[in-house]
Amino acid sequence: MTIELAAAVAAIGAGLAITGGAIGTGMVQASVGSAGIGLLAEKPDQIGIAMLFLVIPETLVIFGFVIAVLILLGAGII
Amino acid sequence: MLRTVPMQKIRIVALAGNKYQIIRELQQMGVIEIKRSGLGLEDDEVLNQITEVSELLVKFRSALSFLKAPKNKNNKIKQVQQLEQAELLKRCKATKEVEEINSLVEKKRTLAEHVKGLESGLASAALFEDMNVDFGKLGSKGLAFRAFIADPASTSKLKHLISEKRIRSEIVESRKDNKLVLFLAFDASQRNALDEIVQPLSMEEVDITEGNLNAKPKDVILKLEKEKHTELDEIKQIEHRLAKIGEEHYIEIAGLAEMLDSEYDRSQISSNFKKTEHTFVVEGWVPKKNMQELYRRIKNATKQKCQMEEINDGELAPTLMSRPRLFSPFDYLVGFYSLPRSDEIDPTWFFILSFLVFYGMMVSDFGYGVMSLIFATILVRKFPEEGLMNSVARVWQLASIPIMVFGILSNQFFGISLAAFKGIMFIDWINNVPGLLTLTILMGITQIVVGLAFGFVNKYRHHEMKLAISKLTSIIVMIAGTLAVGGGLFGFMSSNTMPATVITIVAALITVALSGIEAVEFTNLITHTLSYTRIFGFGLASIIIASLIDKAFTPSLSGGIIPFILFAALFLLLHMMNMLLSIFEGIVQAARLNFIEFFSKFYTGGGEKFEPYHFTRRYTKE
Repeated sequence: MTIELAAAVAAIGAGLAITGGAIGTGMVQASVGSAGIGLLAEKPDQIGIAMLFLVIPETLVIFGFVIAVLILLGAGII
Repeated sequence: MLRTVPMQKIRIVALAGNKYQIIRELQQMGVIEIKRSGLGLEDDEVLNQITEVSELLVKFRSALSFLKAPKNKNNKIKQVQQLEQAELLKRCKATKEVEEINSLVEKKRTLAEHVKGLESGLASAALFEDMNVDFGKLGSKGLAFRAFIADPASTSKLKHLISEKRIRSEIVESRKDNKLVLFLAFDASQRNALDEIVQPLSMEEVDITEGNLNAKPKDVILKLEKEKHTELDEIKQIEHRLAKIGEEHYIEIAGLAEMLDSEYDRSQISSNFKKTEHTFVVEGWVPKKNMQELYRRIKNATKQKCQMEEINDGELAPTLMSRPRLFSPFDYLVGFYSLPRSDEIDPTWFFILSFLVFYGMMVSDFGYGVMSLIFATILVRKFPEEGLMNSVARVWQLASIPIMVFGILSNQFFGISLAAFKGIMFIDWINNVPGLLTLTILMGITQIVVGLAFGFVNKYRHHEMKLAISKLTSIIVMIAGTLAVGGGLFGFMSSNTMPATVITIVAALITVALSGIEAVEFTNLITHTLSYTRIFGFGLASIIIASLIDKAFTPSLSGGIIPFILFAALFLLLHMMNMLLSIFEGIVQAARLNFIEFFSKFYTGGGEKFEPYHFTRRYTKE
């Protein structure tokens, strides 16, 4: 199986886009999650707010995903 | 549809003599949230009969707490009519069973305490069982007696110190259950000297002055055992009698207790009123739809001797949301974030619609939908109706329907595409990536534009015209911007993007001129729109994982029965895990898109829940 250089670079780029987003999301969620657990220990009724703040950083990985899809579309891989 | 239930603040003025009748009507209707009036009048007091009612209520509640409710298979209770107050008090005083229960319980408590004393006496007597000491004859002016539980080292040290300090004494030893028991007779005049010896030694003293130790230990044991059995029998008889009273009179006593509770509730609510010499004033919030009926009833109850008027003092009304029972858990979900204020748009219907669509799309599998429906129905039946779990399960139950619908539309049945359904396959997750990505972005644009429109209405209602217009110009920026970018990138609508671009720039400049905050929100318009692509991302991820499970673990009989069982178990387990992941993520993400991306365009929240004055009845009715 032969892969064109451009396609290979595009695929690596798409992978990097997702990876960056995922690492960023993970780092932020680690801080938000531990703070959220602290909040819940004091005020268990605040679970809605804690959950909401926890999922906000997931936007980063979504952006990574969108960029990856756009790269793959542009390169004609998908 | 997009508003909370309209409320009106009212003031009722009536003669003091009619106070009880009005309170009864207010409690029965349960439509007014009573607020302390701001009028400069004297605060009213609780009704006179509150002391008598509360004394009886304490007795009835106490009696009821010692009875077991009879088993009721159908959970149906024949409710009895609430009695008039005078008759109720008479009836309660005549209910002899309550006095009997309370005196039986008191007697049982005394007996139980006595049995505890007997057991302690038995334990002490048992320690000396092997000693031939008659505790009844220990009384002597010259001699004193003490007993200890000690270890061998302490015992020999004690003996040594006694002989060293020359304390005239006699020690009797015996072993009982691996414990060394010492009985010590000594010269009463050397009590202090013995104390000095004993204190540093680690020995547990046994109280032999206890009243039960008054004969030889074996005789004491026999006597105490007999007494204990008699008293335990008596306790059993009391328990039997209480059970019988519970069987025969529980509902009656519970009904009377509930009536007293209702009377107590009525008696104390008047402390929230204001009064003059001959009249009293009640103020509170009432749903507008109930005002006529409330006025009619209080007029009837007071023979027209009352006045009801509307108050418009600018106070923010409490929030009451009204929805068919099927959708009521969504009110809970919105309230979980923040209750809408009564003067803003209630977005719950729009939330319900978009939540169900987003959630259905993200999970998108008919098989998962069926499984969700089964699990959710089990949870709904298992958890009590008012709790968090029940509300979440009811949301899940309802959401399983769009999962099935989107499952059919995308031809997904536990990750398998069925050839028979190819014809009605509208969503092709794997092969139509650009189309679905565009679709989710367009869904986001639609919801954000609706959010901005709601924001316009809220600001317009609050007469904040600059902000209202900036919401409108933001809508124009969204729509014209979409056409400009869409036209430029994908060529839809028109390839000439100039008009749309110009409109976008002009609308953006107007927005900046009108509101700095709205201008800062421009970046959010872009990021929030892109955020909706998560619907596509999660949907695609769920489907790819399901199809991978199918490819790798679909069980086949060709390899033999053991691999078949193994693969079948793995197949089910992995699909279950994928389903749980999709369902959990789906709920969180669908809620998040509404709460963050949609609500941030218009929602203030922080409404105060409408809590009407009412009394919940189980055993009685009016």
